[in-house]
Amino acid sequence: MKGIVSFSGYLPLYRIQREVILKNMGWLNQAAYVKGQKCVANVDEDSLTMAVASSMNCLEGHERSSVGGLYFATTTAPFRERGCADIIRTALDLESTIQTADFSGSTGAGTAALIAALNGIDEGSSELILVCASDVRLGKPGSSQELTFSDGAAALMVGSDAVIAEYEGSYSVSYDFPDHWRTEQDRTDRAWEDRFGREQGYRRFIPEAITGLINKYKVEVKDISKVIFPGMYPRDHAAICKRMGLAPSQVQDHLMTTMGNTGTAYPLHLFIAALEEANPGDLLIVAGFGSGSDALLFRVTEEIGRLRDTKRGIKQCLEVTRELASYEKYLAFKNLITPEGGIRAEAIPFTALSLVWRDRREIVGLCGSRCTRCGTPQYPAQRVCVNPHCGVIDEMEPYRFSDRKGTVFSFTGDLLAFTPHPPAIYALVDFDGGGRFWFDVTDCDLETMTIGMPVAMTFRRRYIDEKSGVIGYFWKAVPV
Amino acid sequence: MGRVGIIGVGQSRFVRGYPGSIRELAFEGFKEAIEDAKIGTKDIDASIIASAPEYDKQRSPAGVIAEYLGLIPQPTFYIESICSSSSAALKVAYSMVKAGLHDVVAIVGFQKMSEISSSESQERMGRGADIQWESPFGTMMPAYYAMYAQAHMAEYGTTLEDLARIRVKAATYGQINEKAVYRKEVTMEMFTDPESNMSAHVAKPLRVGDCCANADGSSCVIVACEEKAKAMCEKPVWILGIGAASEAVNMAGRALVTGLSVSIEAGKQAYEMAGMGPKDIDVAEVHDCFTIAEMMAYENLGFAKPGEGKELIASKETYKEGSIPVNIDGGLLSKGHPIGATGGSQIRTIVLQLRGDAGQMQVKDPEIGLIHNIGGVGLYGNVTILGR
Repeated sequence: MKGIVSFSGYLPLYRIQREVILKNMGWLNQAAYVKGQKCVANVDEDSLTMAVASSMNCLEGHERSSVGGLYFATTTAPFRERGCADIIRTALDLESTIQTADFSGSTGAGTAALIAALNGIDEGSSELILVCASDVRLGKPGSSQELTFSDGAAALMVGSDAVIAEYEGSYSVSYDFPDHWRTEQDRTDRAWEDRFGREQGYRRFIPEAITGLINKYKVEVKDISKVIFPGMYPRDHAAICKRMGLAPSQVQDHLMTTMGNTGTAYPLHLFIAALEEANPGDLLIVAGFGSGSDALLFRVTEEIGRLRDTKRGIKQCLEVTRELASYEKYLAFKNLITPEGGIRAEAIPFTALSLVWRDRREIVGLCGSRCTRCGTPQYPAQRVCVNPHCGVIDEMEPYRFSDRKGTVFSFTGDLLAFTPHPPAIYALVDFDGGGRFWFDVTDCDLETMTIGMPVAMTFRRRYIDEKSGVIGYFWKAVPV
Repeated sequence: MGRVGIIGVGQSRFVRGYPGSIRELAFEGFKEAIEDAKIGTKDIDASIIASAPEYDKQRSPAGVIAEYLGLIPQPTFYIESICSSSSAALKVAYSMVKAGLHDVVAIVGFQKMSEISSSESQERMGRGADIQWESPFGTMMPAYYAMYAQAHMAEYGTTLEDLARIRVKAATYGQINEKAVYRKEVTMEMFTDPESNMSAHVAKPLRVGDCCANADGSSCVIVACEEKAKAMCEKPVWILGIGAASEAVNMAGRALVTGLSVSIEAGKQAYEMAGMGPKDIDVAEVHDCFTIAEMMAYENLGFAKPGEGKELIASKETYKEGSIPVNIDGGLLSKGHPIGATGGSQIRTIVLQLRGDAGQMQVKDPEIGLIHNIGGVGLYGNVTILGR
């Protein structure tokens, strides 16, 4: 048996109400109306950092050494050339001998990566493959994409041991369907007529893939527990389900109102939401959309109960939110306007890529050392033990801090230092189990900070060196 | 081996933007010191130039400054430990004289902070921290001390009012120090008045009023061996104790964040060498780059128990008339903080006090004085004890 072993969703903390966007840009395109809200990545987040966030939670409880592959799917990679899966692998402190790949091209890359991973698992092997999908797609101000495109990441671990949803097979259709695209120069989406996308694409490919899957695996529609597919066109979503003869209880909520269209991660988000509610024996069909459609068939196992309370699903992500009340702040977060940073913003960050390479496990993987004599964890890695009662030399073992929680020892909010989202909050963090280091604090208001406050680590953009096109990634502290 | 005495002190006025080059600035403090010592340049056997490097474009400033001061062909040296550079230089000068290498040594501290833009100075200050593990955070100096303040408040219940009192005291004496950069009064009310600049937040919990004034300035201290000091000077002031210490560069590597361990360690060394304790000190200059820094200095130097610094300032014991007068020249807060010149200026203040030459700022008949000078955020600590 092979299939899903673990899952985790990640949605950035910020939400913008579509009303706020419409209030500001509705004058331009009065026909555009979508209710609800969408998720907005913080200014220090991108598709890669969110993929790390979902993967960290997904990995919890699994030995790093049992992961044999890492597939990353996105249409918004921070680099056109530089392996994102490899940066994610380093951040997750997975071994360097594993298979990694970036899947891209269309929002269908999420399900494509999942199928590739499932096909890559040998029955009976103990190897795991981690699939993460993440997107931060951008619509032009005033466009319908601006209203629907949402930011988020999802991670699924596949393997053949302790499977929670057994993979039965897939059915794919591939079309070069030009409903929307981005050229090499585009930051924002270009789209053909909305109606064209809905009528010629969405309403055809998804039923074609799902029907193909049903026929291929001889599934009766009445036996399906949930059909799960993106709902970027909610009315058409309902029409598809009706035409296939699905009862409302057989349809997974598309979360357009509360979450939005999270691109490559979207079908995986919905899949995770369905798994959170699923019972042993349930038959689930997951379909993606983008240059055709992939449909996958899963049967939920008895193991499902194991993950219920241990993994961060979508429900939890939807509960913990902060309102982004200002449209201008949204534009600044998305780099669609360039606010004044002050003269201190002009200080060129110190970028030594040779150093980042040399110390990759420390900087990107947040691994320090632990004294094998006295057990004191220390970051950055030391050669002389920092414990004043120990001080032995070169008796250290690697020690990872990224998956440890901690508490704030002291903190401040710096109004002088440049940050795109002032004030710059720093904290000295005492890690549970020992070790102390200095971190930026993110997704946090200064007013809510207290000494002793519990924090966790999150992988974020530390700075951007625009002159050299370098993004400096590091870990930050985030309130638990 | 005889004692080492201070035979002359001088400092420039501390100003916002000095209209001249670093050598001209350095000359101002130097000239006052040789006039104070009533000696000529040929009486000086060696010079030590001290500053935090790279605030001006000059690399190896010792050469150009020694030449301008007329101190060639004598040897000249450059010493730096950021904000405590001239105190560190005093220790080196003391060692040279003690070793019999030179009889009379001039220590010239200087800093021209206004030579570069604030983004350039941020970059340089940043590189004073660990460039790999600390500078990339871009943290500004106030934020570091704000972390100490936050911890001190949480541990001991110190309040913003307690900190404001320290600034009010500094301003009291800054007004009567004609060399100070900030000569205006500061009141407690200003810290709660949103209209006042003093109340503006810089790094929580520190406000503008809690931070020292940047300044350009120079200072000079001339030391001599006992024999020459007695021959050349009517009222030499003797170096009785001299201590120095260092600490982990990054705050994360420090056990103590409610005080500076370097103050405790350097203080211990200086007290031991002088054979004295905190009770013997009649007047002190402490490194008050921020109000919290003076509060911690009270406690780390033994003027108050840990957490009781606030009572010391509340009862005005560190005012001129109090039991332990501290920073009766306005301190770094009001007199100003031209990094490399600061230690020399503090030494000058104590020398003037011990000689009875401090004018309006004069404390009643002090015999023993202490100077506490910190480099970086508690990275280097220097404590010097002087007696007449």
